[in-house]
Amino acid sequence: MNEPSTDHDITRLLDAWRSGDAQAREALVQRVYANVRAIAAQSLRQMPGATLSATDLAHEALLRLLGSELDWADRRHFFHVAAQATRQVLVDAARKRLTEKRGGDVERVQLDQAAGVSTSDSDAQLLQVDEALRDLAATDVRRARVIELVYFGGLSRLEVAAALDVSEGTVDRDLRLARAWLRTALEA
Amino acid sequence: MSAPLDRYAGHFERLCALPAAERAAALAALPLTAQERAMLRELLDADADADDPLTQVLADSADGLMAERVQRLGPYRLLREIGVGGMGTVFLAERVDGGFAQRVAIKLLRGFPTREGLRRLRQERQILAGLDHPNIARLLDGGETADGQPWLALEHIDGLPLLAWAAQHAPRLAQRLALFDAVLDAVAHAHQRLVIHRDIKPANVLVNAAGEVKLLDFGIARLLDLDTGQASRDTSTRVFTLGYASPEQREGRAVTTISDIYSLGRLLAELVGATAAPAGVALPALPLDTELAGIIAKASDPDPAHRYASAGELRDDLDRYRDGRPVRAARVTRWYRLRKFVRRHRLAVALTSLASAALLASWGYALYQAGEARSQARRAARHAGDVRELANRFISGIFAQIVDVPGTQAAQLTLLDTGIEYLNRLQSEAGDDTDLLLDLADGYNTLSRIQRRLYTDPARRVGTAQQALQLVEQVEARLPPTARTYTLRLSALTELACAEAAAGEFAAARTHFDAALGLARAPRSQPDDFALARQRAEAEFQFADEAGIELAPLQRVALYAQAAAGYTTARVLAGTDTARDDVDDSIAATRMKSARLLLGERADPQHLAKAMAHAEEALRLQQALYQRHPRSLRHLANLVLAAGGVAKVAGRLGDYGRAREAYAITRDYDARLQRLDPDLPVAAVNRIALGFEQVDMERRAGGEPTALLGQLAAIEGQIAQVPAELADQRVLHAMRAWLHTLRAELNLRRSEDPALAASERRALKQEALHDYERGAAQIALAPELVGAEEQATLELLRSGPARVRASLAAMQRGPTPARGAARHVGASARSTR
Repeated sequence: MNEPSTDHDITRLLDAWRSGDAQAREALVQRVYANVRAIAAQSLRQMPGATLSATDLAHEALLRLLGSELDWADRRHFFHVAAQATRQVLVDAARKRLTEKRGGDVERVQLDQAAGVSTSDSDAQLLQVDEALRDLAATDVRRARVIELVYFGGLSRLEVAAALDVSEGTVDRDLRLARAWLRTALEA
Repeated sequence: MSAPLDRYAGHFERLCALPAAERAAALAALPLTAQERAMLRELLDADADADDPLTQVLADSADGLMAERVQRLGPYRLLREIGVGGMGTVFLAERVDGGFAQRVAIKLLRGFPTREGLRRLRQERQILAGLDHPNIARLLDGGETADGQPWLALEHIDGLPLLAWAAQHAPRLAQRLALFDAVLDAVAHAHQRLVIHRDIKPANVLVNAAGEVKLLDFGIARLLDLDTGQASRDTSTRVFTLGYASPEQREGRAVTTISDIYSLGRLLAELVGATAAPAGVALPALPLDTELAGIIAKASDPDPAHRYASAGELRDDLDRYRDGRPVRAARVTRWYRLRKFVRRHRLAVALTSLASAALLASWGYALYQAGEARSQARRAARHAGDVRELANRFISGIFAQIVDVPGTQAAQLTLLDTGIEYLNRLQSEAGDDTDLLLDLADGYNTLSRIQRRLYTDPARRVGTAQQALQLVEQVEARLPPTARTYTLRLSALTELACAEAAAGEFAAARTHFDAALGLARAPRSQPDDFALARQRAEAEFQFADEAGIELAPLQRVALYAQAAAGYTTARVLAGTDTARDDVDDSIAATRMKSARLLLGERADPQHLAKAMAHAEEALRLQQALYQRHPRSLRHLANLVLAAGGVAKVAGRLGDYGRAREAYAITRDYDARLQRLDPDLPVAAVNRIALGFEQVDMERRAGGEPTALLGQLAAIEGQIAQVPAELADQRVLHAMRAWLHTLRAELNLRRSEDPALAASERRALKQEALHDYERGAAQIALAPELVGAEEQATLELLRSGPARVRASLAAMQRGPTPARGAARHVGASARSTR
């Protein structure tokens, strides 16, 4: 899982993925996953006043994996993979923590507004976000992906637009609407 | 495909653009169902909420992930953060797997693991691995998590920063200076090893409850660049501490060991109260006299040329101050003038490029004295003497110091080249000063030994050894022989013969070995000194080593035994621990080598038992040496070999369990060696050889051929990575011969598998045949390399092709019943046609 990855490997995997190799995609996700975990592990809460966000994680994973040698088409594919992997890492970790806390039983935790945000609250919320995004993606792939790329992939609006092949305006509109929808879904 | 949200998108956008007050009316006017209107209202309300629910959730989640990942590193559990340094964060940790509670300081990178950060941590580890001093916090362990996060475990110092300690204990001047002495010792130790600390400050000096001083944080330390005498330039990050960093460091100019002297001067100033201590430290100032003030001023002079040239010089001046002698700091002006003179001096260029702190110090001082000398003649005489001392110091002193320091391979090669150039130049100036000529011979001898260790091109080694021999002969033509000339001649002859053997000039090698052994065994009227006794043993040892296949194995065993006896004699004459350890290392080598040779004599079970006894003795000796010198590359590399020797002997004795155990220990030592210095060529070669031996052992043990072929492939990869300077060496031919032979054997075994199709089995046999041929071709390139201890392998190689052919013929002739029937059917089908 922690093999040194080279640009060459990544390019090869991306090529394979584009020509329809599902295993290559899986390998890419695994690699990003490994990187994101490595980054998370290394990045202690050291920078005063600033915590490392999932966005930072994904971006760093991208930088480490891609270097600057890949062309944009490769990067575009890769952004999806990175964002998905980041999401997966965070969701897995949150689920594991909740499971440990509750003695092995995965159960939904109701958000207690008054309690303030503790890690387990955040974990529960993250699982809700994950589920809501999955619901959204079932009918609305593009907007779900915008959220994923922005929040889990750490991409700018411009990058999202390029990655999805839509205009920046579309990204802005999608993001605003999808974010509002997500809030309603979380509060429901 | 339209998504449910598409229904709201247009309305949502328009309503969002409206002022809040107008939205309700606009929403009411839209042609929507009640349900749709409620949904749109919810979306608009959610949009008005300024909080971003996702950002906070994600940040918390990422934090949680990090926190849980770093609680354990290797065998250590992190307890709490105890400090933040330039690049890393330091945690207090305790060992969780041992029976005792060892507390250590664990250093991790801070923030993102950038390439630069990873490089720095690795460098810090290498630097610390090369330092071993009571006043430097020691490196205990290091590793990487499965996620690739590197960490260092350092000696945990339970103490106070220097100034805080001083404030608490209010020591008198003498005590403060004693603390400073300890810091100076630590810095001098580092400088001798070409390490510049670059961040010396009171906060990086801790004093523990026993009053012991420890210098910490080599996080931004650098290895001196041997070409320029400056720390290689650091464009990425310029980390330093204001108030302690020298002007050249603050301005991003090249940093040298003299930059550390500046920081030491600042530290001394604060320690004795010459300058105000930093806020929060109530350190009572002491009355300061002009001389101490002068020392501080000289140490922290903004111009590096005005500072003390080394920590030793600063220490020396402090000693003068304590003894009431006049301090050198008072002569700044004159000193400066002299240094200018020094810089103009012809030799300066050559010497500056040597760039060792110790060397520069002695050189500066020597020329300072030279400058004081009045007469031209006296100056010339002194010059020669100084130059000679430098030759000695440079060659044996500096090299002895760095040869064992991890990561200095490139530096050693540079030093080597510079050294040869330097000796050549001196030789042209030597005239008939016999002492100088002998010093030069000594220098060439040392260099050719170093060349042997560094796998220099054998032809060049021959040249170096010839120079030494010629110089000794030049002196012997004029003076009666002494113990020194005798030793130097013996050493030169031995080195020359070794180099010639390596270069493939066997006739010349034989002649010179004969001459060397004649000397080594001839008695002298005077008793031997250590150097001569050791050199006698060395000649026996090298002969046993290099004469290789020309001698019967038991003959070589006898030679090694004789060498061991010689080393034991030398050990009695040794005056220092270093000399004794050096001799012990050689004795261990004789034992290890004879153990391997005795394996060739399998017919006699007594020999096998003796082999094990020798292997075990070698391992015991090397383990003791390693314990005394845990950071020595040489002892660790030899320990790897000794452990591998025990493994090999156990394997040959048929004790596979013990062999595997010993190989596991070998790998563990090898991993430590790799951690200490990943780029050591000799270790790479040994790693490959041990890998082969292990595969061969498993092959003998009847191991599964496919898995073993996989291991061979990995070893093949290692061979491909053998450093370029080894690429043309005979040892590589031997490795490839070994590789092909083992692969052929394994493929031949695979081909016997009745479960495989006949065509596949035949293909494997053909493959084996090819590999035997390739192996034989490699052997042809380096026949003398396959010595007696590899006879078994050589035998496989010789008999291999015949065995393959026999096996192929057997397939044709003696078919198994099932396939025979099939072939019979085929044959009858043909006959009916």
